Amino acid sequence: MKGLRVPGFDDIAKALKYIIDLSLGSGAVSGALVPVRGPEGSFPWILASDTAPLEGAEPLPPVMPVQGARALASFTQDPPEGKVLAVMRPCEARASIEVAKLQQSDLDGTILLTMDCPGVVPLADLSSDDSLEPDPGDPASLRPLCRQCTQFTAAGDISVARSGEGIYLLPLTEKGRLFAKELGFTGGETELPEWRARTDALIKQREEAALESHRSIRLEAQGLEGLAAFFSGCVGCRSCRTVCPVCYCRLCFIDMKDRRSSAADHLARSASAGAARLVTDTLLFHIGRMSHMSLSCVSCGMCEDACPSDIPVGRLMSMVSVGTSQLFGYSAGASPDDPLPLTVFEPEELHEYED
Amino acid sequence: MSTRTEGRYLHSDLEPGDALRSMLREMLESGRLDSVFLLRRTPAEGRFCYSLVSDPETIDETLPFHPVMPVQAARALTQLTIREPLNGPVAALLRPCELRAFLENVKQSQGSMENLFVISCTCPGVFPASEFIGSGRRDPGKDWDLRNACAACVDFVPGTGADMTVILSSDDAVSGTLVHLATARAEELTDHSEGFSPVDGPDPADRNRTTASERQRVRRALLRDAPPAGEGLSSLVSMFSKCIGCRACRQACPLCNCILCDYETSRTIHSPALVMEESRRRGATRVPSGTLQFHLGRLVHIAPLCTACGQCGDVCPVDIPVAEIFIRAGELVQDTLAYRPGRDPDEGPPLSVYSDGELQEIMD
Amino acid sequence: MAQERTGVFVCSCGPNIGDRLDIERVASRALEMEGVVLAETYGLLCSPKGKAYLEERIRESGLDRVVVAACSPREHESTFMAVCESAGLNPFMMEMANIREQVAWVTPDPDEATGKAIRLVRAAVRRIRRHSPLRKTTILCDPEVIVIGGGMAGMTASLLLAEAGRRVTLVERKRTLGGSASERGEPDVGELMEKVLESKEITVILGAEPLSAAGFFGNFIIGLGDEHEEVRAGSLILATGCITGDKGEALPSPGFDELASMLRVSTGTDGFPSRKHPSLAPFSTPIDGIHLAGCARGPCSPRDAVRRAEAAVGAVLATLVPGREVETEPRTSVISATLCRGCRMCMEVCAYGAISFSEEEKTCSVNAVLCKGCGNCAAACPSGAVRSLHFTPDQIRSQMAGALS
Repeated sequence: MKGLRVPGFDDIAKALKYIIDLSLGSGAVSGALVPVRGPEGSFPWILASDTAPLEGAEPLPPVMPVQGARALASFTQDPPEGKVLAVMRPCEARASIEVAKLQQSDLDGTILLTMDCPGVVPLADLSSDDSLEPDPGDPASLRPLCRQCTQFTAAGDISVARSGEGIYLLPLTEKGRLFAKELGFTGGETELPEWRARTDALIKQREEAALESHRSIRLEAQGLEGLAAFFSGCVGCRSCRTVCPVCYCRLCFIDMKDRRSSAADHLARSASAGAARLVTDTLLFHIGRMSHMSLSCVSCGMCEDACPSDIPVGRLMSMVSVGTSQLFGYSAGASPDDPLPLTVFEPEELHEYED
Repeated sequence: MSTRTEGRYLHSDLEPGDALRSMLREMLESGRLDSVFLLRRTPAEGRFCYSLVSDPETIDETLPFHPVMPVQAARALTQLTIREPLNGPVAALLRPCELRAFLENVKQSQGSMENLFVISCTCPGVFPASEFIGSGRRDPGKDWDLRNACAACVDFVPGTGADMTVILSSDDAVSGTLVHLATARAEELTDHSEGFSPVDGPDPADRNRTTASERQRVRRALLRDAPPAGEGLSSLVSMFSKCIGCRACRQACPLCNCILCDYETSRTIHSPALVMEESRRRGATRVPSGTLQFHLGRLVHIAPLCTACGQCGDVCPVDIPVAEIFIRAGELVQDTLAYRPGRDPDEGPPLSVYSDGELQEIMD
Repeated sequence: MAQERTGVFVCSCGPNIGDRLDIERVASRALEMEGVVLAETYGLLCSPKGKAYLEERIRESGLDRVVVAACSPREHESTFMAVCESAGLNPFMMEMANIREQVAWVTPDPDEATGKAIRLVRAAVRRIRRHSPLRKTTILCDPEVIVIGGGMAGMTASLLLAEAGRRVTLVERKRTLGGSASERGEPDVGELMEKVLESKEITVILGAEPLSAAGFFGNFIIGLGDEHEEVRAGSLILATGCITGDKGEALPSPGFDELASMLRVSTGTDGFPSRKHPSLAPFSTPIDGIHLAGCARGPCSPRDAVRRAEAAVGAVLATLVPGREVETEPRTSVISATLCRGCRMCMEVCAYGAISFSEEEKTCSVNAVLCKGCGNCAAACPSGAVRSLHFTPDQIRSQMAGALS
């Protein structure tokens, strides 16, 4: 991959701020989506139409309170008037692409700008110590899914990378290329050996971490009993569903009125097993969610961050997602042109799972 | 000068956990109960759940009134009885706030008390779930703190709706277990309870006068100092700035049981055009929009009915003091409407009852 | 939104509007608004010529939506809705912008007034893009009448109705007619009793009182207990009288509160039933088809009792015409069965008894015939399961956006 130098910067966050200001200030875009530093240690997303509010912009906050794709989708059900620059992490950009494929947003006119992502600190950790910073070299500082993330750079239309002492723009799509040109980044693209080497090394580390995580989660959640124990602490708060960028139903299947059981059913269940848990349908909810969303899961880990019961639900979803995606040779958010597997019927497929 | 009232009790020499397990086991064995609803351990460390226990032997694994509230019991009982009432006798161990919330739900046809035998307690409070999970967020050497809502709870003696009340909180220590029998049903069901002998004694409320004043003191401090103690809207904006829109507070709340929350419908969700317009008009706008709209809206719907259980605050992933806000708003609204949620099963929900000439004082 | 053709008509209202703001400017700005294909001014739209003009323009220009910027809808909404109907356009595809009472008459500065008028027109133009062509329905009514209470008022009402050719069922809880007038030995009571008992049109049921009530205007069903068959009628007259309380105050007859609650007739703090309108309909209740005669409304002399009975009969005869189909109000509320959780808050706040609850489905539903479209239920529903037709959130929001942008 080759990049266009962004002269005068050696820090990704500062370079990002500059590019955002330039994009909005020059009128290349009429809106910019970026997190800002807010009151009480918050980092809310804003859609800015003016450059003034961008003073508080924080393109790489230490946490991910709201998945960027959710923020973007909230106002792009119809394509926005004029262009919007959406500055977000690679997993957020990939989720945005999935959301568009799921017909919940229109990316026409939106430029997805990503960057080398160092990962994020878990929300709960920052709550108790607001000085924490994510360190890609120190897995303990990161959200569990960040520790095993291999897609931490180069997603969307254009990405910002550091190579050696310089900062570079990596155009990844035609849209990205045109945009970079429009911003005045002409000149030749150069190779980025330092970035390549560092990135490859980290990917390798992360791949190992992912394999280990998958193995241990698979063991922990083995079989129905294992899965039940895994979700023992689940209180049915549905946070995992609500914060997930690719879960989009207005009324979730689990909340539909006509699926409710009667008292007699609950008592019968209790009588036959000796005891029955209430609130019930814990596993049904999670398995159902997996079966609906697994192919679009981008392993961002938002679900695990939001879980009040400290259940490693993100790691489980990610492990399952990797498995199901492999069945279809699909990679969530990689390209807007890859159709969703369940929308494409191949007569000769998955025979190995038949009798 | 309050008149001390005397009540009928059953006393056991065993500690409450064992005493209650023994009583409940017996009730199941004799067929006087089909099932019991109470806390139980789960296979995972530090995790508990409510369970409908039908097998007397399984009672051994239960933890009556363990000081944790993984789920507000009213939410579970609603799920149990919303389609139709119980078709056999079931005992439920409920804390006063859970009982009151369930009674409120029953008023709105979201559940039924039929065939339900309620065993409540004078409640010493629960610990936040995070204390049990030990996520490393808290210093393990520190004394565990009760939920703020519990420390400030003045409604900890159950009223109408409780058949039996276990004395867990009292000014003077109780040796063994004391169970107050409030209804004829309670006397009937406990007729042959082994290991229990009848005694008389002061009513549960009378046993907790000092405790009640202490709680009152903490409550006054909470209402005075708790957020939003600042200036109106800007302080609310600040406070909810961290909100990630996970809606756990809504899900955890037993009173919030609309099929589809008003704040997830197209009627309240802001259209893209509106968001863009706001962004242009003010230079920038927060997205997703509607953070405060959700919380203020939930306050409007729930404050008149809030039983101050504190479940909402417990589940918030970013430690916003949601429980304190609702308790405060609840107190203000309930005082104005002269309504005490879950105290009188025959009293209609406040906003459905209108009396001519009411609330003149807030109109001028 | 395909092929919108909105026409905007700005009325000068003689000098009332035209002299206070620039209606030409309002019209020309209206023409720039989305969906508007026609924007004109006119001298006096409510005049016969004006109405004819409006009708012609709707037809000629193939308009599918009409905005009339003029006086208050209270004045002429029905006028212009009727014009739309004559022009073959659904009457609910018409929206008024009140630029007289709300602008011309209260805004001294003409420029400011013109600006405001433009805003209100824009609000109406945006709103009307969300209108639906609501359909009216009709029901055939039962022309018979039930009179509850056989005192002076009840007997008078029954006789008058019989004279008008209506069949009446007169229900009295005691074993004799006459009520309190008879107890006091008033003259004329005996005569009335004779006439009532002789009348072929009137069926008298003594020793009975309503124990159940169902239905609505044009179709009431009253249960009188196991000994009697249920009685049906299109209207009810409550002539239950009143008594004197311990402190000398007037109270409704014992058991009236139960009857009122059964019929969903609201009562005031004094226990007496509410009136549909203090001046314009003092002897009807807010429930369609239920009227009041005699002291049931409050203490009065025997002469007044007769007058009140006459008034109630008048109301019945005017509304309950045999063979007539009653047009129902289409601007009602609708409840989504999917979203309704059966909490019944809507029922608590409905003043018209228009909402019922199904035990099997555990949901509420609106009787569109009884619904008056007041919107209380939609406001009370916490989950938004209730929608007010013609006042949907979409419509209101577009109106607001139009006014504020």
